[in-house]
Amino acid sequence: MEQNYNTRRSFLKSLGVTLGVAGLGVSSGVLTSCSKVSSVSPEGKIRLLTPGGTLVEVDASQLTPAEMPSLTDNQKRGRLGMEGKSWVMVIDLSKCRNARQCMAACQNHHQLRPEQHHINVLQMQDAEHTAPYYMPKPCMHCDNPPCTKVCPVNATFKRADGIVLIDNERCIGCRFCIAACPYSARVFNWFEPRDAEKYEGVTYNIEANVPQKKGTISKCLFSADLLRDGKLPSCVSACPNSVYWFGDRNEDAVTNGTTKETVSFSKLIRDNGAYTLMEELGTKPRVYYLPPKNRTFPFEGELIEKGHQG
Amino acid sequence: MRKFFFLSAAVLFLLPGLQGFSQVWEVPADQDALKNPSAFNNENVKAGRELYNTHCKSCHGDPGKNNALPLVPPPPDVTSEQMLQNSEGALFYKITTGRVAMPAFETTLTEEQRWRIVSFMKSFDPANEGLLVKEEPVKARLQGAADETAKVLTLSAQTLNASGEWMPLPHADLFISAKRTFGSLAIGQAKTNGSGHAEFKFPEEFKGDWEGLVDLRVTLGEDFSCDPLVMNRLKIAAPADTENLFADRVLWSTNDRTQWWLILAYLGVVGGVWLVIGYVIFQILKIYKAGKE
Amino acid sequence: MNEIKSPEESRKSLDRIFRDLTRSITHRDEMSRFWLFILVMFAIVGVWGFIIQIQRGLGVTGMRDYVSWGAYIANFVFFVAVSLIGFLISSTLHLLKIEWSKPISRVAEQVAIAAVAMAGLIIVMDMGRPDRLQNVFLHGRFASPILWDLTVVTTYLVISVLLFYLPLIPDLALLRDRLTGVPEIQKKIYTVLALGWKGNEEQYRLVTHAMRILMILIIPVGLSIHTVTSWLFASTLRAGWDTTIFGPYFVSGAFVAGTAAVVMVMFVYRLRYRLKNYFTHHHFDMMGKLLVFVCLVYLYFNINEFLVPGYKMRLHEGIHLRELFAGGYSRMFWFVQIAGLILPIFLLLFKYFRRPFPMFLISFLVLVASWFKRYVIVIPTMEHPHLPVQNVPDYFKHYAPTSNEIVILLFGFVGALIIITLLAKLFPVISIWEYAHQQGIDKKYLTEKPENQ
Repeated sequence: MEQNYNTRRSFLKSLGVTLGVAGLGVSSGVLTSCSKVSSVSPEGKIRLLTPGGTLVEVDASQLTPAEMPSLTDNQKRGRLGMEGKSWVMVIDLSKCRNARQCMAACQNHHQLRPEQHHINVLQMQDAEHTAPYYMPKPCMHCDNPPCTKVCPVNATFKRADGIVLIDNERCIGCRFCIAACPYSARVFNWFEPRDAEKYEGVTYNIEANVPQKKGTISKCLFSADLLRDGKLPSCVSACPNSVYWFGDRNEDAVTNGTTKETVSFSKLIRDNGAYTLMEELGTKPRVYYLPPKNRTFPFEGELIEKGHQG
Repeated sequence: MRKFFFLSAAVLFLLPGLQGFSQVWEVPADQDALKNPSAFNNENVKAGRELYNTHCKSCHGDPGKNNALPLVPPPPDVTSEQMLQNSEGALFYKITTGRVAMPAFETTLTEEQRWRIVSFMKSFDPANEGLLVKEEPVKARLQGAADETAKVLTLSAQTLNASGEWMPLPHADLFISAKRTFGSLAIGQAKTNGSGHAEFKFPEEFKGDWEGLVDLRVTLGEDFSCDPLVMNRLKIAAPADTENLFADRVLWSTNDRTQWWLILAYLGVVGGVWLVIGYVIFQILKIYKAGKE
Repeated sequence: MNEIKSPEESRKSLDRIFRDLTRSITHRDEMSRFWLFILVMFAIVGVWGFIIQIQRGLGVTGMRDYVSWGAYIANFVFFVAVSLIGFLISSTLHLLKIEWSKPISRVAEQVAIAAVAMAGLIIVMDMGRPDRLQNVFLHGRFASPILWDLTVVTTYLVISVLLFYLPLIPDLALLRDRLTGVPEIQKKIYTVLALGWKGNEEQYRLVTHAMRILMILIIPVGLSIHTVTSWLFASTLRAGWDTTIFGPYFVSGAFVAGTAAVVMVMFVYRLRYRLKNYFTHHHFDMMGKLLVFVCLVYLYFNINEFLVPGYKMRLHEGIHLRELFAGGYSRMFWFVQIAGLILPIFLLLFKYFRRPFPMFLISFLVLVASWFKRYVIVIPTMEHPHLPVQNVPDYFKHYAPTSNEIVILLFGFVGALIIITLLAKLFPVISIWEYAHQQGIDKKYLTEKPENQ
């Protein structure tokens, strides 16, 4: 019963967001890639495509534009984080088949150019004769983050729920954090970002780091804006192959983005021999990997390069 | 982006595709004639659906939504004409052997499992309409109380009988789960006794929030039409060990949570050096003064 | 110090010294105008390149997400390195009571001021958002090496300027009193800057006192400017940077680059301003020996830096070192090591090569190699991060500076040369009063009104 309480309200709310965004002449960005205004009929009825994929018709008067907090409120809220939460991600390498839906959803959500990756699916081969595998690589949201250590202006920071965020209203573009990050998780806006003129004047949302800004850093932020709405990060829900588990370590629960199954986090990582990437660097990542054994899909295609290194 | 993806997928599968696939997927006649040995009933179709969701959906997509992956050759939707014109035996053969991008499930799935997937797929065949009788779920209700000190849930289940009276529901499975941020986490199961009652010992180590509060939800199996029993904010779980990332002064943090030694060292050294520079500038002023005498 | 001279002799030789050492100020010909014109043209092109970079974004450079620090940072490190010579020659050698280096200190300070000022400018030009520079002061994090670097660069610039200015005060008074044939405004500048210098005992005492303090103060500041610069790299986890000897390694390398730069400037002054009797063979000989010494120290650190990880060849270190020794950067790497280190050490062991002109050529080679050394330190490491570089265009994987970037890089050199030229055009390149004092001319003659006026 309590599961149903939010359907109508959040449905309308999400429509509101869509409309609000549409009003700015923006196809989508706040929501997932597939939600968009289909058409506006003359009687004030609006046909909308919901994130779920169904076409609905709603009276225009019923809709209110989604509320966006002011820039300072948004920045303050974004810097505090969500109380009592401790977000973690588990990536099951045995399930990844390089479908790259995560990358596409992420680039849509965060308004990234095709060569900019908050999450990047890498072809890995640990040693010369070991089996190659695909490894999605988001930001590790380290608990000992080398990037926030070096930031001269506190533009990148770690908040109480574990997410490492970037404030592109403050970033001076020195790129020290890129040099410091051993996971190559950060990207820079070398030129005007994608669709810059389209998003001109849109209030900056620190939790999604949109709109992007020229001359500043961008990075994976576990879709902090979606988390605030109780939704899974866009990469997690976009995956067709049940690769991603995401949840709150304090609650000891992670939910699969594809099957929506919720399991105990500690049991999942214990039973499957989870590891973190380059733990020898002492960065204490929040992203756990389950090793690529008993794979659902064999590794296909040509190896881009020999060996583990680029 | 979509284009880029399509291209990479095409490159991935074009090479083996050239060697291995022709437009028509030939099935040997004896295989084509095979009949599904498992019964076409709700149970098997349901089992087939679960198997489909784990093994097939990632490429073929959701039935009827045409959201398959853009591979070469394209994986057809299970409700499509192209798919349904296959005989049961042909479907079984194709699942078993696979081709090009489609893996062979011969070793991954048992024969029985493969046939159940066939059953599931055939449930979309218009020819099979009406063969599966939807069973009317039994109406039921749940009641319960929690003993927070003993960490025991006392549950009871009742069902509506033909004459509209609530009767105890014996030997029914109750599923207890806890609400989590993105879904409900299964805690355990209990079975009602002969008089429709059940007791559930809450596991000691199960974590609630930092106070040990937990939102529980008890449900009956799918055969019953029953509102879940919701018990919010029970102080029955172990308190979560919420970690405080800001407990210590650390180097990666903001100025107000950086180590004292660092702040003192920085300010001390810089202040000291600039004091000396200030002194030197003062000496320069004195040179000016000395010239006036 | 020469023996005390008679008043007549003193006045005569002071006149001669003054004439010689102010030649850089009074001497005007087509050549110097042309030189300044060329420099200003290049500087304008550099500014124009920078404006394009601001308008279009840092993407006009060859840098991308993987090699996100490029030649700008190499340039920055180079200039910080060159600036360190100021502290070596005008402070350390002074405190060690080494006499021969005294006429060179002002050249060293000129080079130091020019280099450190440009280093500060280059780092701003490397920023993605130079318009937000104030954030460093508003929101500066004490834990960030960039904040330390900024602090120490500014501090070093201030100390260098003071160290240039203090021994200049008596000279400024001389210029104020004796110099003729310069614009009125220039005279006024000398008058103001001379601070009413009368040359009394108290004033000399104050200058010496303040100088002594600065010379001691600049040692820790000078050491830390380049140590902190090295920490920009050493504080990361990347192969090739993640090493503990980066501080002293950079400092010793800086002395090599700085010594070479000073030798070159000395040679040009000697030629252009006819200072053969001031920058003598002896000075070049000693600078040659100094260069061999700092090169040997640097060689020692190089051996440490490459032999130790090269012995182990850990995964990422191994990839990095292979790239340097035999891979895409091997030519540059071996040029740097041989032309910038081995060859100068070998050649400068012979007295023949420690003469002015050979020294000039060797120093030029050393300076060029020093620049590429910084390039080899910065870029190969960035090209090989821990994780493979995939799903990006090919030009993300290999770095090469673009023409726009080169124009801005050149601006650094041109800017430094402009500063040095202006300093030489405004102030004597050798301290007149100290030199006169060394020649046995009493201080009292300095304040005398010259007879011929």
